[in-house]
Amino acid sequence: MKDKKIKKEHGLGGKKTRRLIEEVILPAVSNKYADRMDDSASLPFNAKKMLFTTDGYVVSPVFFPGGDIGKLAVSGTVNDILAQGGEPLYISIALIIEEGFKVEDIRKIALSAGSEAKKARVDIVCGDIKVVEKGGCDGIFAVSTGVGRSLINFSEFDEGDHIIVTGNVGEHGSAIFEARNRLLSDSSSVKSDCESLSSLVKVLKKNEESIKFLRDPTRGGLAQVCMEIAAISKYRVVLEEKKLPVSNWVEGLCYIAGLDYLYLACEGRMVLVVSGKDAQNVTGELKEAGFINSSDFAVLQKGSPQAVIKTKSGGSRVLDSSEVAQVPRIC
Amino acid sequence: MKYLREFQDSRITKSLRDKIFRVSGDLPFAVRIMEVCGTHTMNIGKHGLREIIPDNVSLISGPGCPVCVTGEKYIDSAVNLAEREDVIIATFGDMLKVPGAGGRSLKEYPSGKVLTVYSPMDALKAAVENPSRKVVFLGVGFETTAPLAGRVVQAAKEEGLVNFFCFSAHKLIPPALKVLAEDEESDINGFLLPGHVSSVIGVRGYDDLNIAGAVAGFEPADILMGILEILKQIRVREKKVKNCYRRAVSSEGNSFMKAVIKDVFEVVPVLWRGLGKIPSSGLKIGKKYEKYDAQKMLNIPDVDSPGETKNNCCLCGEVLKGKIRPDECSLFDSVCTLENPSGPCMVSSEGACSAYYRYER
Repeated sequence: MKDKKIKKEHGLGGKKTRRLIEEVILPAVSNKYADRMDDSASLPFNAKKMLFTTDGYVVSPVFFPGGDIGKLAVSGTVNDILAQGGEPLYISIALIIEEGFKVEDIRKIALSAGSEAKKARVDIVCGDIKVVEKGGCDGIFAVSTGVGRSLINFSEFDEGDHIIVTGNVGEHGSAIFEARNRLLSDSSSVKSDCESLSSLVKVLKKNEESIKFLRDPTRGGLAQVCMEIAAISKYRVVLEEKKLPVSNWVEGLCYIAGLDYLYLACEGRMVLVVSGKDAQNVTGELKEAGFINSSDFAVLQKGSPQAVIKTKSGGSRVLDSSEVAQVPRIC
Repeated sequence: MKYLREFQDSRITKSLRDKIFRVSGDLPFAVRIMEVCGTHTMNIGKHGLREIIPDNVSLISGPGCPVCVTGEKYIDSAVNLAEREDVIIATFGDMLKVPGAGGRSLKEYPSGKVLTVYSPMDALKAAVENPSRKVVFLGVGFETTAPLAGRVVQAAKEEGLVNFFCFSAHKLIPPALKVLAEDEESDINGFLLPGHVSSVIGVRGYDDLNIAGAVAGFEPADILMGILEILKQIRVREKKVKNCYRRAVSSEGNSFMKAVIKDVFEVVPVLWRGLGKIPSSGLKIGKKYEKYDAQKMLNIPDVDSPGETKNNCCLCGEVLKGKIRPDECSLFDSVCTLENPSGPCMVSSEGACSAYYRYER
């Protein structure tokens, strides 16, 4: 690794993060499960498969429009299990708290985590608390771990597969950015999409045969997931800008602040790659299941494995794969 | 969304594109149009517009990114200021990563020392909150940002602040365009003129410019309409400035902002990175507000003397003049990347190199 010290970019979940894990961490812990570097590990358990995942949360501010670190610690871990094609069952949460943090705020965070767990139909079954001296961390950090049951096996990518996203993109990253910078005069519609996606389970089970890939577009947003799909599938991913579901306030905020919603995190969306012939059906079922803004926005084509976007105005460009933190500490 | 979606509508852009193709068939020569403003550069890349215009029309990126044209000596002086214990620097974020001649940049300093602001007013606030420190606002920008900085200097005087200073490197666009229009090597046939600057100076601000031009907004339809108007002029060898951004730009511009500039600043010759020293192209704090002039009050040496130390073999200067495309610089995408930029055109989010790196690799 070229860098001698950790930079913010090492935490973006992209190439630099990968390099840090591959070159510094994996060599020390290597085994057949960790080496796959999936968001959740798929483990054998009593002749069945168990999914196991863990995630850290350092979001700032701790309370943001549409959620808080407690809700995020549940939904993030639940969604990581779902993204591996599983049904989440149990999670644990550890809290690292800075001396001086308000007990009342911890109560709020706990209530919010509890209510999100109930909604997601998972139990928070164990946890841990550590307190560090003032300045030892920023308020409160959380780590959550989850286990789930494996539900579906993914089939191979094919030319003509479609990509679907289950709702408006970029809302979490935008909400955090707005919470920190307050650029909008009317912030009444600002809300993170932070949410557990457990109600996807039904749709996933029913369409197991046509699902090739799932990913929750958190850090790096939809753009990074599309670039990842291109890299893994070896197909060219072609996005249609006009089909991207975006809410007005996100589009407006990004315009003012010079951000790109394609790269902003979602915390309550899933990206599905499905076979072309079933794309319309699956989109319809997603809408019926409550994901009303689901959109079938991209296709896999033969060609160099890049993600390309056809713009509304008729041009096209390759998605930028450089890693520059648009909004750090979003989750 | 109003003023966004309408101007990206493919029906409108398609019709403009068809017209551009028709006009381009009658052009007397292959045309080079310089888009002056960094926001134009970014949006041309982002919307993939290069791909939908004819082959005999090239779009060249110009000097319209304020960070990019700021001299290395200015950056070095800002870094030297940051070294002073009694000083807090307030700056727009884009300035942080730009290396000076010595390779040092403001990003090396903690956020309490170098304050990133979205508005110059935040710099004034910092001065009020830190009465024992001198807050220096780095005044970098064109006619669009100069009035904001100027208004803050006026406010500092009104409030009787003694610890707020502006280190002005503000620049004026028309004199630089005049130099470029007359530069044979740059070989520019028309200018896509910057919408924001034009909203301040008005179409009349370009009266001295003897070249085909169009003031354009920033959405795809705006940009295409500007290109179309320039091509129409070139076809009949006309040289005037057309206003294609009427929803924001008037003939005379913004009288309030022009008055602020006139009140606070004085027009002087300044050094542009890549373009050299250009007469009457910069704004320094005038006599009336000299107590707020960082250069004078904090004894900053002249930053506009020529003889810039060139930072490695970075060709930002050539890029700024439209002489080479960013990808023709040997550092581009090898040594100089968005993650690790060598020159200002890659550092700045509106720099030509950064636009190429993001959208046109």
